Amino acid sequence: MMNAAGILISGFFDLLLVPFRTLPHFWGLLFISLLSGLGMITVFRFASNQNKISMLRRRMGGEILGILLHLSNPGTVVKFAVKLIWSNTVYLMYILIPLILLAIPFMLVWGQLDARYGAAEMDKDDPVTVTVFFEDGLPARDNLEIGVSGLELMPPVLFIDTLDEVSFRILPDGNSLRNLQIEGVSVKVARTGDWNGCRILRGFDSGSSFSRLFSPWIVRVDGGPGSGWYSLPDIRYAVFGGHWSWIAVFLLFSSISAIAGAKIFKVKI
Amino acid sequence: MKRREFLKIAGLSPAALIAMNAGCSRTSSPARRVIVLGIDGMDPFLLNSFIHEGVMPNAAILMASGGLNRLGTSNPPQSPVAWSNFITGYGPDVHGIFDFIHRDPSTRIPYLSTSRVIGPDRIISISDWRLPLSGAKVELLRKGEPFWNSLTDEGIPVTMVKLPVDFPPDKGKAKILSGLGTPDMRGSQGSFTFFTDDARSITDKTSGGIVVAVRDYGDNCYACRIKGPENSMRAGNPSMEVEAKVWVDRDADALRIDIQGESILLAAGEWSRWVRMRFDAIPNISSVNAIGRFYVKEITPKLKLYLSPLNIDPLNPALPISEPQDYSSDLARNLGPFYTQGFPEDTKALSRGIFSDEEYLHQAWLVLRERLDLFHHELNRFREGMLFFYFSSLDLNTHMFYRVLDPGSPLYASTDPRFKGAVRELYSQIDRVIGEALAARDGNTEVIVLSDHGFAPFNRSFNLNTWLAHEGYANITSSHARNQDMFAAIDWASTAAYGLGLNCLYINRSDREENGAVPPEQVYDLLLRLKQDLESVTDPATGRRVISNAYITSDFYPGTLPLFAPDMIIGYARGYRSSWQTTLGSYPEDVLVDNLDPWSGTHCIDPGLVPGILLSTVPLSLPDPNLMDMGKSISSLFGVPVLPPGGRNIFTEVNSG
Repeated sequence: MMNAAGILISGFFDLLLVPFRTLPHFWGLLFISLLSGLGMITVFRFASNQNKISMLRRRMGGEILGILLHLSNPGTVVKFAVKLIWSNTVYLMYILIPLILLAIPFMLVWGQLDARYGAAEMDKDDPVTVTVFFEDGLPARDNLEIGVSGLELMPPVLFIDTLDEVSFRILPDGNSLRNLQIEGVSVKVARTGDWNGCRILRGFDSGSSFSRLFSPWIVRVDGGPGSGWYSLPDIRYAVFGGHWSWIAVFLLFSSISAIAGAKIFKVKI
Repeated sequence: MKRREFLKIAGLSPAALIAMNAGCSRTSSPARRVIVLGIDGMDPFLLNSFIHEGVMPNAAILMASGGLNRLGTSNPPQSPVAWSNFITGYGPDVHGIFDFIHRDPSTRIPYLSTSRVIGPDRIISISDWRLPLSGAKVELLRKGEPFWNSLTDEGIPVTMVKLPVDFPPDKGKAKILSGLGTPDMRGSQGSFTFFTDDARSITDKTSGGIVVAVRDYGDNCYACRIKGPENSMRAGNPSMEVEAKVWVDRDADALRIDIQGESILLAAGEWSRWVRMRFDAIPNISSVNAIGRFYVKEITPKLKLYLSPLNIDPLNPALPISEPQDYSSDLARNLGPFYTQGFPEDTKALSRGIFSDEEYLHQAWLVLRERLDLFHHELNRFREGMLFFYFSSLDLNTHMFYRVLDPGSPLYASTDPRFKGAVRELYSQIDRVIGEALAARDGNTEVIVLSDHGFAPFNRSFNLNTWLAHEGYANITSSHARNQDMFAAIDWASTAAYGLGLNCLYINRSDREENGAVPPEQVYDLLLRLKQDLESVTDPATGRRVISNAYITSDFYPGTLPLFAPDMIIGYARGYRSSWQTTLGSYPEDVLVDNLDPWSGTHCIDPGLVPGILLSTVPLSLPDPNLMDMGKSISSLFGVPVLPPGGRNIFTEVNSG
């Protein structure tokens, strides 16, 4: 069930990003960020009691004005201040429900963006270190079976007994989709497609599917050693002369779009 | 204006602009291009010999068109001084760089001559936090106007890649990436970190890096704390640190470095790619980025893990290394991270025994390969104006491998014969670069190859301060103080002169230095006596003169000298140089000792003995070109109306003398 949901959500984002497949990563990230801001402000509008929020904002404005007008009268200032704190608390309660409702789609979008724009793809000159954690203890050095397709396996294989981990390096070999076979289990590595904005897989896990809804960069496997991760470097995006992580780009542009949406659609926040 | 009139003008204007542009293109010549290759340390004698051996066919082509000329260098012939001569067209009396090291005239405290950091004006202190209210600044100490301003003022594009003595880069219209003089993130000229559990490696106290003792507590893991830049936001400026966990597998002879969420697997003998590190001044609020490369020297039986000096990240530089500021990030985006420090070849790691000859040469090759990538990138997009490109490899590698060229070197016999061809191979690499520059020529492109100085052997070290003490010019307080610095060893009230830096000697003047001993009216006579005495010093081991010329600075550079200028510049004879201890003011036991450091070549001697080279597609009309002439001469190739004031135009002027 969760697996199907995960496939559906990833498929939906793949569809959204179709026009950006041949463009640099930034444009897809920008589009999703702007869309998310607009989406969130729309959800907020329908999930919140706009009349109550509007009334509370007016009331709080009046209370601030009351404080400013009666600065010479401490008793009145205190009275207005207490009222203001109470109004503010009620206001926070009114926006809490839409925020809770927004949290889940927000986390889903966050996960999808992290999976697509958080890590760099494999570079042909730059080996990627793969670390595999064996839940049931390390196999004997001679018994470990690692196979690759679309990849080149670079020796040596490192065993860390104290962590029950094995590490090795891989390099892309050709443009095909890449797979690792560890202890008889096949897992995808890095790109899930050959377009810009596709998910970049950074690990695999045999655990529950629910958490992977929010971390779509991890591919689920049945059986096998346990879990593993690929050390792919972060991407920095050039915006306004700086070099930002995808998180900074997303927060900036989704906020801009949400504020603009609130202005255009007259949403009270 | 009526709507119809506006539309008419709006419609006509672009057409008029196109017509004007077409008219211009008909009358103007194709874009002028000049490629200048600055090859630090290319020596005329070695170059000539390699050309005759057939190692440098492209240099031979260039020699055929403009001849191989000896290019007059600076006095003293040190790279920061020489390249400043090139940039400004004037000597150190104008640009103010006399040596790698200057000293405060009053306190005698030495400092790096090319740049300095100026702290923030105002700071708020809260507990042990220090919050600056204004930014710290880095100041370029080189004075004088760069020659390329005469080109950029006329709208001619100028790109200077890895330009020496230009950190922070000059503000202006030229595109500049700083080279020699750019520090690492610890503020030094290159300070490596070496993690080891081998106690024998931890005893040496030579400068150039930090040796960090680490220990495996039985879990095959070493916690390696990487010392970064100083944290000016904390009282006492402690170093910021990043922890790397190093997991070793001795059976596989490999290790994994886990650092800030990244894992890097390396086998013994391998180099990592550039690794980005974030040093937090205030966690999650203020941080600086650095890049470094790991090298696994050994895992079994002892861990020996080298980390390169922490370089300024060109993608997100913590200090200004390019002009415009996004030039370095543009390069990093296109080519990946690269060495940004001024001295990228880690000569200190070789001198200190951290690197073997082979390991050093491999690291030097990594540097050269990056530099070649930068060169290709810039050459491919060079359309118009001047492109200057600087190569440091020849200089630093000739310093380290002159011992294989000179049978007189004390290390000649003990150097592995496999490395006898190291210098030749580098010249050959540079020849390929010259070939690529020549291949990029069209009918309107000139190629100029120049070096700042040549090379000579450095077989014997002269302890200038010890000599001064032996001759009664300096008074050492006790024999215990000998190997300490001059501040601990010297009775200043009875000391007449002291040496500091590679070629500089200072009189301990009573009107300048604290507790100075020599009255101003006696200074010149003292200098004359010192000159005579220094020029008569002979090496008891060889019977040869140690110093060719001792130049009295005020005679050599008549005119007003800055207060920090040395009183005398020592021009050593071929085979000799000041010892490393002298450069920092120490007083070792012996006056002359064999130089057993792999740093076996030098140019910090008499300038007449180490001229640079000039190869050019433009024939020369003056017989004795000098580095100071190059700015004016290069500018003249563009036909600009106002040439820079310094130097002569060697390409067109007729020598009336």
